[in-house]
Amino acid sequence: MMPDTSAYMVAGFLVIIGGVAIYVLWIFTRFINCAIRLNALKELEKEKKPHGE
Amino acid sequence: MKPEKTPRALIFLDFLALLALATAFALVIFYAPFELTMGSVQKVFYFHVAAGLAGMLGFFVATIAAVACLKTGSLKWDVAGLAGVEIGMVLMALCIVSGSIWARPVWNTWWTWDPRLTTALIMELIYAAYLLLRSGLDDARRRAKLAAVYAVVGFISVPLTFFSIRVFRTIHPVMIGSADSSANGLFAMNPSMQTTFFSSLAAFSILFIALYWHRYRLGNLQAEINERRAALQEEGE
Repeated sequence: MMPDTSAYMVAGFLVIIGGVAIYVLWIFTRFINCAIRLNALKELEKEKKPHGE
Repeated sequence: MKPEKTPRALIFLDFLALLALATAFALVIFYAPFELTMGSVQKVFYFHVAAGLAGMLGFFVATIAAVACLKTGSLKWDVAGLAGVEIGMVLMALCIVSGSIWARPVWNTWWTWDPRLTTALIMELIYAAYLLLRSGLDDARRRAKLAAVYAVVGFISVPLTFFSIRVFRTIHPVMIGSADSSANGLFAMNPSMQTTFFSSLAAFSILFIALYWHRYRLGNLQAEINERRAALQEEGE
């Protein structure tokens, strides 16, 4: 008789698919944060330029 | 305001990766046959191996980038190398954890110091140290150079892990090439298993390319932020 190991199968797929999903979300979050920081830096550069001229 | 529009090819690749993963998953669940001695848990193998090989691909790409970085001195290659290592580490970690879940009902243990498991863990730790090394260095050029040297040396762990089941006495099954009859949890792949296996491998390869492209773009964005911040600090002094 075939052993019932379906719970382990579900756990295995949850780990792999869930792990990839979390990593994708992490990249997305970091990208958004970087975009915000880049915009803030660009604003700072704009503010600083008139003083220098 | 977005810093740079996502290329259409990358959006297409994202959808392709999602479609390929969904197809591979459907094949694993509905098409691949059940293995009689292990039961349903054997199906984890398709994604476990694919994730592991894609992870090793990440380390390989990082090594190529490291060599290019040492040759040209360009920081773009440093960004490319970091992207490869990070994705490689994530996929390898998923491979190790899913393998442990597979091992529990098949080997009756979550973990054993088998040559394959041990070398895989050492490889993961070597690349974790790569990230630690980077975080400890502030100068971008010095960091790129040292990280590149470390990535080239650290890559020795990748073939060692891949061939460990062929070189050492092990209970881990060999899926590609000749199998050791002493392997506990060994199974021969029939044609429908092979179709599912290669579909999973293709899906994870496409996923790797998509993730790598995203991570490379993120790395470039981070580098641009660091450059602008340094320039602003210089102006302020």
